[in-house]
Amino acid sequence: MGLCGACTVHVNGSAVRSCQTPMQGTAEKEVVTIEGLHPQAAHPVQQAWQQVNVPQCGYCQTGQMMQAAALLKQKPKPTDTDIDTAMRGNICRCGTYQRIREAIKIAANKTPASAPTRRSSGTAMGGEQ
Amino acid sequence: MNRIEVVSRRAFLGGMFSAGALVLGARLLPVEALAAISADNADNAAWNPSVYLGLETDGTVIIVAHRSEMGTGIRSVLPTVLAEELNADWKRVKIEQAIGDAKYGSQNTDGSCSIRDFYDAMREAGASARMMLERAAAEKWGVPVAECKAQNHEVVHAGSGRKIGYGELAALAAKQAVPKKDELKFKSAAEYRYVGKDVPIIDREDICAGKGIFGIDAQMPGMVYASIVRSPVLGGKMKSYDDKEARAVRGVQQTVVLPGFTPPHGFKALGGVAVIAESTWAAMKGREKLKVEWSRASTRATIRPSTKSRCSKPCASRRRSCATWATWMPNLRRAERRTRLNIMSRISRTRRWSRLRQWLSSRMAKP
Repeated sequence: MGLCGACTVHVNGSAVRSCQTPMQGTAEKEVVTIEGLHPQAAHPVQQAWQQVNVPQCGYCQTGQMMQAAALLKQKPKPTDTDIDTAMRGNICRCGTYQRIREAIKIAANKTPASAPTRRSSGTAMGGEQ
Repeated sequence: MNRIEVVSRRAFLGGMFSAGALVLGARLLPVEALAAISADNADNAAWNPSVYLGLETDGTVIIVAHRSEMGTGIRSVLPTVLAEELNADWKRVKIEQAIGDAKYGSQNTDGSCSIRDFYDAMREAGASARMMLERAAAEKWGVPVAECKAQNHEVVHAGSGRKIGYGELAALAAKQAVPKKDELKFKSAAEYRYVGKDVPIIDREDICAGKGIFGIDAQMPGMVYASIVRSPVLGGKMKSYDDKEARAVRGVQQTVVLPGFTPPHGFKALGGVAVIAESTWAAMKGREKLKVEWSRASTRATIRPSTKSRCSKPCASRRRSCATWATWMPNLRRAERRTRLNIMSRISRTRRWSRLRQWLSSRMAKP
């Protein structure tokens, strides 16, 4: 499968499609879902998503946010091209792409301040950097 | 012709509202139905509310969203229309997503119809409840109704400045006569706080926290899953099928033949063969093993029933000399492959040009 990106989760900090990831491939690795992104759902990406009212139906948005969070971890200040490339596989039927891009930029500006708090939710992710 | 009535809690299936709550139901008849029905008859027609509003004794306003949310925001937007006329505090409004139920009338949510069809019903239900709350407060205080004004989830008495919350008035309001349609007074657009304003969708926070609930989350006791094999072409008829191997897949329970439609297709359900299983995976694996043989013969009939004899000779010779045709032929072939409709060999030249025009206009419509 891997058609839409809605099921995106982090495995050792990288965005992967859970629908095509065999269980055995995740042994000894840290898996973070949207619930684990931030204990109060206040990850910069989640906050930015609220700020610009990204979701419409919302079905794809957990995957979009996980993909965006992984991108910002890798590239804290992504360009439009970086965003488009990273988010290419995450399909949104409502067409919220413009706001997704806007929210990623907002989150990018917030990320440094709240980066230390993220260590508590994932030591493996923190250790990888 | 919207009719609004107090609904008994017992009449409302599912126990959404608690004892003492004011529950209003509003019926909306489609415009076409209204044209054929006189006002008297409409009142006598079976009581079948399609919009529900509840006011709990703790002040919580419950609005049933009876449309399907598919990303347009209709689940949040229709209730704002009601909350607006009710002068409710949006923070104290709870939206209940209705399940599919005949009591709501048609819940088919398409064609940008929901606001057009239900704006008035929502508005009238809200205004009715507001007036009933004002009447209840007047009765409680022993003052004229004209001196009582509902605003932001409470009724205020103009003379004394006394205030009483909506929740405290719920039980008394439920005993008030429902205002007649010509008694209703609506707010002016200048007074609007929610309608036409930027109100976030009701589940924005849940969605961002990964707590959004979707159809795929629905669970029923003993629920099974289906995966359906369809005809590769529109209107293809099933010649035969063999489900022996499919049924041997672990978790597969049975296969069910779904009847096809009688052309033209329109909005009719497509036929197919469904594999019923105890999990999605088993259903999908079972479908892979299902052997179905389809007849393409009915494709022609689906597109155009009677062109069989007219298409063969003239086209073959003229086609080569027609520059436009030669230019667009490959594109049309591609379009044909893409749509999986056997356009070229099955329909007349006139029809081909019509198809070509359709195809061209669809190309031009794209940015």
